[in-house]
Amino acid sequence: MALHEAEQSVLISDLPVEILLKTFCFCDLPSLASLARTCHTFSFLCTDEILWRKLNRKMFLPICGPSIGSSAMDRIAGVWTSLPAKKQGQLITSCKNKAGDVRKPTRVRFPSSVMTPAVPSSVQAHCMHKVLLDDNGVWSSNATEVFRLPWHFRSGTDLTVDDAAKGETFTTVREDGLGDGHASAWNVGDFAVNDRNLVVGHWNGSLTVRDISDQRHHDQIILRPHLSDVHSVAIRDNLIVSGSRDHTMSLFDIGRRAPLSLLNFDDRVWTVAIHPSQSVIALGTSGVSKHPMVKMSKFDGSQTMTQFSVEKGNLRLYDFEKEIVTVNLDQGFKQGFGTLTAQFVTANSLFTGGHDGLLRCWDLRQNRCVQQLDSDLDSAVYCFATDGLFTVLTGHANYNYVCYFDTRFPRYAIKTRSIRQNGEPARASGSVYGLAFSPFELYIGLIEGLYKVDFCCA
Amino acid sequence: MAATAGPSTGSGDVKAAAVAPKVRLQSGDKEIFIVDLPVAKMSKVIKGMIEDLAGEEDPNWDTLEPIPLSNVSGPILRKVITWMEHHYKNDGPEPERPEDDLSHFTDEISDWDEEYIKVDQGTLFELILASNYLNIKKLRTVGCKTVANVLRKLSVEEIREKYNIENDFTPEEEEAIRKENEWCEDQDASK
Repeated sequence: MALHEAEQSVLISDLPVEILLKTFCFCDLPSLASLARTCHTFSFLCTDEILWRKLNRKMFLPICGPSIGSSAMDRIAGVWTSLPAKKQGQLITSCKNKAGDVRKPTRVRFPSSVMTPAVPSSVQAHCMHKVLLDDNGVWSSNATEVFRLPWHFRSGTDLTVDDAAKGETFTTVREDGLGDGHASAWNVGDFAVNDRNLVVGHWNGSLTVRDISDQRHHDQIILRPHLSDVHSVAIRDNLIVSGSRDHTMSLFDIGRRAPLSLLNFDDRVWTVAIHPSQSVIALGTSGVSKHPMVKMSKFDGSQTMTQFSVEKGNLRLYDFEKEIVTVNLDQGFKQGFGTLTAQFVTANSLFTGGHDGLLRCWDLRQNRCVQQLDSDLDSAVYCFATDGLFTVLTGHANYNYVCYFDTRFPRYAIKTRSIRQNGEPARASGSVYGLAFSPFELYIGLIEGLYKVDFCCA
Repeated sequence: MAATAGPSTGSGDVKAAAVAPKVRLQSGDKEIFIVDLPVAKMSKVIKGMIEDLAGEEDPNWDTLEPIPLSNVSGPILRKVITWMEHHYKNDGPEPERPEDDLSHFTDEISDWDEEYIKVDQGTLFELILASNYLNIKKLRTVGCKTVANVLRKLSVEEIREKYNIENDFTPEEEEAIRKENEWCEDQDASK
């Protein structure tokens, strides 16, 4: 009778593969490790690509690629996406273990040419190391230079910045005779790259644009749209947008080498970002002006000037084809939180960070804030990096704080102030100015230099 | 032979109004079950069959042929109907999740389902197969999660024993697989 029952009973081997895989999806990793050891069939199923894609999404901080930031990153994104999902899972779990650790990151060495004695220590103290990635390498800036460290592809499945290489500096104009007096006038405020051009914004209100598709890098254009510090620059195709302390935002067509318009927003412009496809610019200001009046100068042959008032606010969307401010995103928010950094993550979402220490995610279909990531550090968000999936990292104004968020669990942020220089504890004045990551390494731009931390590393 | 599954026939059901149409389901071993139409429709497969059989116009439910579910045995179908009736009555629309609700992230099962699924291993597999065949995703998920929860506590040898799996590895092969998956072993997937 017992034997008869056993024959009748359904066994696990009777379950179709699809059901087994669905079941494995709910298993924890130790269970999967055990299952893989039971027999050939299960061992094979436990490496299933779709299974691991699902498992990876269940992890804290799943990574889908490098942080968004430049238009030319197919190659480095490909290094990750070409990995089997199980391998990705292994790398992500290692990242999860490490992120909680207080680990001392290794400092990225500067290309020797950047460490020239020409940079006085007084200027060095004002370095704001921004970071951007693209297929050509890791871009960063110190006070006087924008430089690029090439990628080093390790064993075809791993990618690291080659800090042993000399790197390449894109020396900005510092020669005398330009009538700008002190050398720090040409200090770097911000920079942006796409597959063709490098745009650098300087403290004296000028921009330099360099053709990086040209190997010799000789072709450099100097623009002077602003009167003082350029806080932010952005580039999409031929459009270059810059925002300055002097309350203006400038639009320039690098294809025709012609200025398009200059807008005065009656408020310090901290950040500009260009929509990936639409004629929209996100514009973050300090939000101080009580009755802001926008003055717009157009340079279309005949220079015309128009003026219109706008609602007070510190995060606006400007349509550069219709030439209107389409919306004040932050209506109803407390004035003066100031938007310091903004980036379009997808066509429908914009992320911003500011003085109130929150990272906000805006849904552009409804023009409203759909999520606020609060690090609870009470420290302004100076920069952030996201892969466009669930992983968001914020860089803060104090103690070199970096915060790791999984947007699905906004309250489970991992906070780290582990970045130390020469073994010293981070100072209250230590700010994070740049953040970017490949799936393998995280790059953190501080005052003292550019640092890297292992991210998803085996 | 004929049996209604469950005590209630949906008397308090406002949706079904006065005349709650009923369908007859026939198991593989020819047992007939009379079930409220909307309950039966929780199975996507039954729903499809009813729509095929009934066509566009309102059919006469009493004369309609019983719906044959040849892959499901009577006892299992009874158990499945119990699940559908409970969830039809008690599940409102998907509850709004609080921001930090991790339940979809973990492998938790509701109390009722946990009690419901306390069956022997063979029945559990049959329920999973039936829910797969009838396309009742939630029930299938409950089944899969239950198996996963059982696996959680077992060693390699215990898995082989429990599920009657023959070890077709050489010791070297098994050691290689163990090494390859070593990184999984100290991972707590529940975060």
